[in-house]
Amino acid sequence: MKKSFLNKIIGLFFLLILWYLLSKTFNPIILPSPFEVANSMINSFKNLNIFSNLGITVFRAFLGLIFSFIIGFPLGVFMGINKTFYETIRPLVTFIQSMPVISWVLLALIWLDNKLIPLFVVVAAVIPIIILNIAEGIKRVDEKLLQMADIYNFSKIKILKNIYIPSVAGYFESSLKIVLGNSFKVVVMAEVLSHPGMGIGEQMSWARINIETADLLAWSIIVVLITFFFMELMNLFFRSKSDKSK
Amino acid sequence: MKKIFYIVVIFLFSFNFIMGLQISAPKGPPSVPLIKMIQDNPNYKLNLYTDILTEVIPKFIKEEDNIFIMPTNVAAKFYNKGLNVKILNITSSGILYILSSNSKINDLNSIKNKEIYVPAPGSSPDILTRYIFNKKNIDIKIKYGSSPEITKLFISGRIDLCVLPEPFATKAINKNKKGKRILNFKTEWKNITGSSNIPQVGLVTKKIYAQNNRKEIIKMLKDYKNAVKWVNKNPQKAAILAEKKLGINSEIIKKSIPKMNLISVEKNSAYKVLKNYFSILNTVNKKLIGGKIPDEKIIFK
Repeated sequence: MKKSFLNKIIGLFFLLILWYLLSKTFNPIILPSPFEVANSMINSFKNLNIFSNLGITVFRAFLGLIFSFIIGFPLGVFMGINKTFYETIRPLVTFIQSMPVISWVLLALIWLDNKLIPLFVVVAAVIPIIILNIAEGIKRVDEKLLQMADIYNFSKIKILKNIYIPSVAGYFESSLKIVLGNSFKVVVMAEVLSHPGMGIGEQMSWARINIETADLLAWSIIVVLITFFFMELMNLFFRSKSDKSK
Repeated sequence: MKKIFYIVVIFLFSFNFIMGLQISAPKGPPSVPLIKMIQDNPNYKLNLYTDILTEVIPKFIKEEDNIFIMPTNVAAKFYNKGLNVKILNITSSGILYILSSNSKINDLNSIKNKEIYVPAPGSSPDILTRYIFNKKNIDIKIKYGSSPEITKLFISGRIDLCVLPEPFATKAINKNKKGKRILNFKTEWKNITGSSNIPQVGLVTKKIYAQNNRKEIIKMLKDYKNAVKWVNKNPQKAAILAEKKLGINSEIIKKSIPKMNLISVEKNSAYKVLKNYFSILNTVNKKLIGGKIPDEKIIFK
């Protein structure tokens, strides 16, 4: 455990040195040094507006996720239970999933108010993954277990609690993992193009307009850190949960 | 020996012919004199661009052998970030107007708390609009779109208030009967700063290129100045020349030319107005010009 941590630090350190050396050979517009990027980060922390921009981006991502689960979960369950429904809805879901995210952004620019675009795009990007994962989880419920429950005359609630939920939980967890990492990237991209007034993407867009490459990198690193933070938080949550159940 | 001499001569000759001077300009006012120039002298090559962020800035960072019409504040940013640039001239003294098609909105004060459409966030029209309304203590709600989009919305009557540069302003008014100009930025600029010259854009190149092609550039600037004079004197002819390249009806270009305020100011007089302009932008936001007012070396002399 300790050794792998050390290895990570060494890897990061080498990356920074390589970055620093490369930045020496280029103009700062092309590649600013790690110090400049760190400086730009510190400056934006001093400004305090980093928190409102960061907050609104995280808020949009989570709101999008919540919406997607509220709509996607029941749809997925129903698709898992009812084969006809599954076959009718499946092409639509696959269509939404195969559509490039940028198409959603461009369409949303025409359809919606700028402030709603990031939210809409997250939902569009995330909902098919949730629906398909949940449907798959329901479909994979062990038929034999259900037959057994029938023989022993289990109540519906008991069947749900002891057979369906454990089966779907794994799929729910994996869909959440895929979707959480994606949602921040998608929100930021939508913000860059839609100019909703606030948010990390909005700031990145301004950094581009002002040719502030250091700011652009600083905000990108912040997005990476946020994603990392929430992924770790989620892993911790699921780990502690599975420990408890043992 | 003689043979080699001929080869060298032919080589130099063809080299010169291929190279010419490459000029990139937006599909807007400053290219009208340039179109006249390439008509008269095929050694000038003109590339028209539509988006500065994707077409000009990346290219300018990487390439050496090109002259660009670009916003002067972008040139200042480059200069302050260690790219050695030279501003060759200023090509207009003001191309921005506020248009209204609402009979109740006739002056700046009546715009208070209204929604106004402005081209391109962070661009000089955006900066100047916010600066002027800020100075007058008038609150406005800025909405963004590209110039062609805003023009369409204004013509169709879906919006009744906007900031547009020429020739879009002329086009918008021409096609919307209720449309009128309620402000010439030049006038307000003079009230606030004492100068009626808004040096928004100019010809810009890398220092190395300016040094290596000094003679050609001096000649080009002279040609540009003459072309500006010719365009201002012959708007009809200039409009017909520019129609195809710009994709705008010649009638509109003709009416727009007097509103474009085309000029060619160089050297010390250019620095004087630019210094004033930069110091104002710097008070709005230091990032607009890259932190500090560039010294005189930014000007090609």
